[in-house]
Amino acid sequence: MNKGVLLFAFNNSDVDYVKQAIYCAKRIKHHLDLPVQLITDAVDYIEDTFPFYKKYIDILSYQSSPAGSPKTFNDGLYASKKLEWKNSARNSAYDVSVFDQTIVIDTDLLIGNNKLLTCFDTSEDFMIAKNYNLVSSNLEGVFDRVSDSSIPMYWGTILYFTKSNTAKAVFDLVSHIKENYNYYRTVYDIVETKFRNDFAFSIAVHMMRGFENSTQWPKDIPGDMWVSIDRDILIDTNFTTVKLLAHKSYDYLPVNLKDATVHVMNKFSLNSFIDKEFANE
Amino acid sequence: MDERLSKALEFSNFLETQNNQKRIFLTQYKEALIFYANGHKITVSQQLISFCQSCVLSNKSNTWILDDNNIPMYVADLEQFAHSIYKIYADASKKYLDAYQTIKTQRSVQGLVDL
Repeated sequence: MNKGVLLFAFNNSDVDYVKQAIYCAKRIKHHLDLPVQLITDAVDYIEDTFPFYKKYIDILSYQSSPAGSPKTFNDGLYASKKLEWKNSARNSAYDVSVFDQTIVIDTDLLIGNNKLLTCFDTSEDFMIAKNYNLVSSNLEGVFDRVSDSSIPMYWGTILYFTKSNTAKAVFDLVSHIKENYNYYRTVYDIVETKFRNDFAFSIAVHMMRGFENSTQWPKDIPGDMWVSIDRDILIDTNFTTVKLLAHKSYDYLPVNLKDATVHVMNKFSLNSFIDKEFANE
Repeated sequence: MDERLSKALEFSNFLETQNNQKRIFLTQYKEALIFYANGHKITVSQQLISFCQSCVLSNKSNTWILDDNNIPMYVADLEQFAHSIYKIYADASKKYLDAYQTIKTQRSVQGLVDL
């Protein structure tokens, strides 16, 4: 197969990433019409619980669950849970992808347009999301760097790569950074102790471009990425519209986004919405 | 709560929501002005449109420009390129104007998010 989208889903006790992945694939089919490969450790679960998954997932591949780390998952402003976060398998994307040209996205990304298809028209071997928009303006600048005094932040939320030496070098370097994360975390002045793909890819990019801030490599992913953090609440969405309550100090601000691709970090409200959506499948 | 205070806060909420929606529309407008051709990323501007149109009027059939990453790009069919970038500008501007006009007519927070 030539072009496709790769998803990773490893459930924890409370968040069903597999369900998110199927919904994400449904939107991919609608807007991008591309084959989807899902990497998960829950092959039996998906076949038993979501028998309709084959409508949206073309290739189901098994991979054992990566080690988890504790993370606080907020559900709006007033609720949170400390759960296991198993997000550290992204570095294997190059090896496990069956596609020659692959877009890797997070399962909580609500695709709202076909702009990502432009990736396939470029001559780049590796691209990663850098620019982002916030659904409300009260967090401006927070995600610009991996830490206040350190390097620019890139988002592992959306990656594009071809089977090429450059892309392989990036993923191999991310694997090395993952294995020695505490060292690199200290070097790059990252306060957070848990492994984050965003940080590992940001470090890899910084190293591969000669420890300099170049604007020419890697290119930003074509298209838009709106970020809604987990203190926001997803109210409703269809293929073209996303309605949210964006947090502001102790209250919420209603937001309506049209034709936008939105990264919804509140997994609880996203999962509740998907339950309603899948009731008719 | 004092009714005067309640009404003032209601208006404040409305204005904040309206301003955020306006910010979203402007951001989406700027993104709609970006287009990709031959591996180049180009932001359409009035300046670029004017430059291309003036070249066309001077009977030039091709030209060279810098893309958003300062990479040189050869434009082989200038007339077609000028037409394409004007269309992108016009479509994006019309969509932005329509969205802005719609939001101006709304008088409640509910109306703003049900656009």
